[in-house]
Amino acid sequence: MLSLTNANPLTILQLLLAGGEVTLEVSIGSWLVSVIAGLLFLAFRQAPYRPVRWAADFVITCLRSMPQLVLLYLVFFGLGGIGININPIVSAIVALGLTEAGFTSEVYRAGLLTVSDEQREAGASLGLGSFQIFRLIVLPEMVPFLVPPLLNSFVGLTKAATIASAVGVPEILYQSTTIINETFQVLLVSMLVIVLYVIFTVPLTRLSAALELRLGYAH
Amino acid sequence: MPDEPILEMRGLRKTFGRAEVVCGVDIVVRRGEKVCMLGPSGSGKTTTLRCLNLLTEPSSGELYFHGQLVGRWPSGRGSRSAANDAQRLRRHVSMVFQHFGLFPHLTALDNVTLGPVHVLGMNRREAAERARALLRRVGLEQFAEKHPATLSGGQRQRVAIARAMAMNPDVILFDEPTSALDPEMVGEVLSIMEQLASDGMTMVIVTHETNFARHVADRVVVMENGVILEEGTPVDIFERPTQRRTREILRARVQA
Repeated sequence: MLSLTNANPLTILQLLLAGGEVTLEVSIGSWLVSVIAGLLFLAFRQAPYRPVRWAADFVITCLRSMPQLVLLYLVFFGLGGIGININPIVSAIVALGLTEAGFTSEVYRAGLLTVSDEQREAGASLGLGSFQIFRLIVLPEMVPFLVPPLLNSFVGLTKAATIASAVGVPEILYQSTTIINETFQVLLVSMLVIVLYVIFTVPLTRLSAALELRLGYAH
Repeated sequence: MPDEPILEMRGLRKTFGRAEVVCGVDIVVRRGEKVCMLGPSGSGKTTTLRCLNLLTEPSSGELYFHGQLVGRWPSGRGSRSAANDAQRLRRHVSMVFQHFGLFPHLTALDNVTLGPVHVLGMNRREAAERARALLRRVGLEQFAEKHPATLSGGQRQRVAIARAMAMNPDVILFDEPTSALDPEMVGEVLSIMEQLASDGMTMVIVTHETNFARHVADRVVVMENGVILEEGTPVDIFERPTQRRTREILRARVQA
């Protein structure tokens, strides 16, 4: 561990960057969980069996209304209490990813609505099965509509990743709290954190706009 | 056998909510036959056509394909096997839609190869070769790599016809294939369809193009209010219809 006694800004930056790396790890991980789990939720919500649909709706409603921190405690301390020990980073990834998946499945549902029934019928008229219609027609057609909200959810997760500090994950907020406690440089540390976040999110929003343009098909 | 029935629908009824749209229609489509269905909007002709490939599920009736029962409605069977039967049927019964139904994320060529590759299991190279030949037949070989958005309405419908032909179907169903087109593009689509007809393709065509029906059809079916008003050769229907309503409907169309 670097010594903080002389509060060298470069040292502080180094520590924050190390935290940023963990933040990135948590947000990428939880984003992937949300993208995949959201798709599974969507599949369950479209299931031909009513009880499955009900169960999926119930779970999604719970996840969407639950504060992320509560689920994080549940995964880390709750499961820990019954002998299932999950490391703090993985706990954060799971908790953030699942709560986000509740919203992501709504994004997918909206995406599904953008593909007209005529497109599905055209696929069916060729003899494609329902899964083929989804994979070959519906999915590729809805992706352009999904890109902006999914990137948006990723940006949101980079910020939500700060709650991982609550179970001792050394992400950016955890690092800055530690530094502030030892140096009392509140302003400097806060400004650095803000700058790091801005530097990180601006290219993402640019990327989102560029992808939207590239993937969009003029109808 | 030239007059072997390919598709046969008996006692077709279809209700949407409380409205009965088709009220007891019998239709037989024989090999090589061109059947044109005429009638005012809301007469049930499109619904009847869509029941022939089960895009719309009949409320009651029986559907036979090459003499084999495909389904009987109201059906007591599980929906899964019915869906499988419908899917199998559609391999052999292609459709051309009023609004083209091309896939916007695929090029013209990929629109045509999708069915052969993913339904017939053809390898991509062979499918692409055949697709190019089909696009050449509809006069669009040079547009193979274009996306539908960059094509005109007439060109899109010609791609859609090539896509239907690519499945090597036993019959192609046309649902008002020229109704969504600008007037100057109707001709190019109709001439492709005429070519297809003279090549011996079995076709069922819902249309308002009475001239086309008169020249291409082997049999004309006139529908109104969910029933077949009259059915016969173009000469029977256009020159000496037995029903006064038939005459009125056809006259309205010619003037329109």
